[in-house]
Amino acid sequence: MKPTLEVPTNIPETTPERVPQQDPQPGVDFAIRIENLTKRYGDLTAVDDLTLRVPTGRLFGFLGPNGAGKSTTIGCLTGLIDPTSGAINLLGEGFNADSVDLKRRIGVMPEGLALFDHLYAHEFLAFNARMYGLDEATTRQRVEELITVLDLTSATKKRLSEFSTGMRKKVAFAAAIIHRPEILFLDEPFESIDPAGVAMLKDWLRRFVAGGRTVFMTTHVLETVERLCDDVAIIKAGRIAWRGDIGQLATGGTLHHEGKEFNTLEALFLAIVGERYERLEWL
Amino acid sequence: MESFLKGFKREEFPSQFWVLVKLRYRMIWAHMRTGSGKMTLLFAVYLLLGLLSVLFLLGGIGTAIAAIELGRGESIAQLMLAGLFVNGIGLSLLFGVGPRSAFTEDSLRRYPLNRHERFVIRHVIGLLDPTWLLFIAGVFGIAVGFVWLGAGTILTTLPSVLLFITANYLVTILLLTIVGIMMQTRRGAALLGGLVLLLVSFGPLLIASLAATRSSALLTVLHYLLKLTPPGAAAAMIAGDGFIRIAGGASLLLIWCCGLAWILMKLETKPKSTEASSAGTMEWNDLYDQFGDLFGRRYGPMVSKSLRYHMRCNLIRFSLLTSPIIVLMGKFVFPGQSKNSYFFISIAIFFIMSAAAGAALMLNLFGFDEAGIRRYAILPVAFGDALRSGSLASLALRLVTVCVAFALWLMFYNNETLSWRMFAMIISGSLASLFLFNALGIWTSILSPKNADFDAIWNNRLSFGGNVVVIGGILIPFWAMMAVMNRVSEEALLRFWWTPLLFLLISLGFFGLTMKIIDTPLNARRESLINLIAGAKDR
Repeated sequence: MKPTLEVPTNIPETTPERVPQQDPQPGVDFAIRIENLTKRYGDLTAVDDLTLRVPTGRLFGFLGPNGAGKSTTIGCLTGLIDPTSGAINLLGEGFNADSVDLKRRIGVMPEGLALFDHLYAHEFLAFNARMYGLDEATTRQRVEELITVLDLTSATKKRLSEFSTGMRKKVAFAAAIIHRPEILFLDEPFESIDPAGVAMLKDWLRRFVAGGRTVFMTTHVLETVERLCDDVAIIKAGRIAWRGDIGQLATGGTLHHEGKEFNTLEALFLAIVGERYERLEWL
Repeated sequence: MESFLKGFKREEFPSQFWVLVKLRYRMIWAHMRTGSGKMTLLFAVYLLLGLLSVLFLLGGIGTAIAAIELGRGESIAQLMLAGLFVNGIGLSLLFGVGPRSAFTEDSLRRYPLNRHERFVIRHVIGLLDPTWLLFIAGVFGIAVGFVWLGAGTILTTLPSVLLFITANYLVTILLLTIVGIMMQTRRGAALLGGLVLLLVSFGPLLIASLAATRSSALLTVLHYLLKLTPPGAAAAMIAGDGFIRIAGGASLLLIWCCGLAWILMKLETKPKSTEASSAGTMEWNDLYDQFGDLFGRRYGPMVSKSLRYHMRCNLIRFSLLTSPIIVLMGKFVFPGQSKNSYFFISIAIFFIMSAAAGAALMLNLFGFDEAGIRRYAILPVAFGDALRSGSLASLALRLVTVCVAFALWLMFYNNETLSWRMFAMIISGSLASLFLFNALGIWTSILSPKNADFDAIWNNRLSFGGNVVVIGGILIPFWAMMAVMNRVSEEALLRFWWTPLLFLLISLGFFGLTMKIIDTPLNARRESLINLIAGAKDR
């Protein structure tokens, strides 16, 4: 069977392709609404009274240093973690770990990937497709397409435990999109994937949001965020430290924070989280 | 040998070695501070205190006194050491304790150590595992007994203890390595299953018939062969008189240790067989999927996934395939029993088999999913459905095992005496055990979960709760059988043929109730369960 997904051949990396937005569900302004979200682990407050709204049809970058609370937030937004307090609203409906119907409308590539290591890639993807209610014919068609375009055909007789890190990420990404979700949550999706694979996934994400769907993504690769995302929030110690539209960077504009101007996302990020240049004399 | 010795001439090696030994013990201590570790510690302390005293006092000094008084010091020492030797191997094979790989070859490769150093570090640390210290204590006790009563000297007994324990460890680790290599392929696993079948079925028969012959020639041959083994050689060193016997024993032990170490090194450095190609046709709608479809859209995909996990885990597959063989034990392990007893034994054995088949996964339904457990939380499914699906898959496979076992039992049982009441008792007792233990498995999966290693072949992969359930599932019916067998006749027992049927109904009710109410306790522990199985990650 021939793959019907288009494999991008020439993705412009320096001039991001921004496609006019369209709202798939009139009346739903925000795909994601988080109100006063708090998650505590004993004395540690991982997420501290976080309030955030992500408009529908946007590619949203959620950034922060290690331990800032990114994965905990995504965990709360996807049902992996129960918040201590606060409210989550996805696609206009209240969300918690038991929101089974709402979970059908979201796709998740979680931290740690959550793969069943002793299945083959096609078995794992078919399992996910069937869990999201896809019929047998559609399941088979999409799994075969995904395996082909993600360049996994050479490993169809290998269990997922034998896959390289990059291949495992591709499988987890495929599992997140196989049911065409309305919101896609991605926790560090591009790290370890080869450049050609990353370029293709970025193209898919652009088309995904162009279709009026929403992506909520964490990554440490700031260049990728700058070229790919529309909106960005930076989280520090469980609180939102900066939130804004970064679209103007592509047209030579600047970002503002505490009266200062920044012409790259990296400069802004380092100003917020604090630059560290301690030296090791023995190195 | 020269290149082997050259490997240890680096100045850094001793300090690197001790750093790793200390790290190993720090890891053991860190494990002890966890919940399940505290239980292990409790048992370890109990075993150390209890067994050490017993082994030291009775095994060691008692042996020495008996041996010297009877004038058969060497023979009795041989038998005692042979017993310890077999126990050391058996404990490791059955429970996976002792020669655990604290550091794998791959994990040590990142450090500046050559292959000889890595070999020595891995195995010396394995030998210093607390479990082996018990055996060292036992052997040392025998040696101390002989020295105390003047029948041996410290100069010969101390080296004999060290060499004997080394040989014991090397035989054990070699067997584990060979079995591990066999289990890597389906053909090897089948061959191993056949060997176990032969051992379980005909081993006791062979021993019984050899014992019955009481042939002096045979005993002489066996005694001579025993002298050539590590226990025989160690006994010659401990209790032997004369330089030649002691030197002979020492030489023999050295030959054993060097030979076993050489074979082990060859096996460990043997390149692993790799698949010629990892590409192939994708299979769709296979047996697993077809069977899963019987459970509908809600459970079907998860049942199929769970069946795959059961059948792809070497130990679970091996357990399910070999469990039916246990029913033959009644016939072969107790060959002297009457027909009456055999029926009693059969009821107990069917119950035990139904409890133990595939127990590692049945009692720890999330434990083998590792990071995959997170998937259940993000999929559009109630978390409890994942648990129910796993239990249903386990139940289905264990039911097949019971059917195979029953067919085997019919083949070997005397059909002329088989009545419908017997049939009802065996079947309903076995089914009752299936449902009871599946229900208990759901509870232990929530209340006493354990992060299991899917690929490990030798390990006691049960949690504390799982161990309690399995040990109880084996001991209680066994004790019940022994209690009833000598007091009640077969006729009297058959009058109560409906009791297992009643037990089946109760078990079925317990299973059904568990499946229904499990969501509340599961959801209360969902997050901690995920963190335990998948490991808490960066937040």
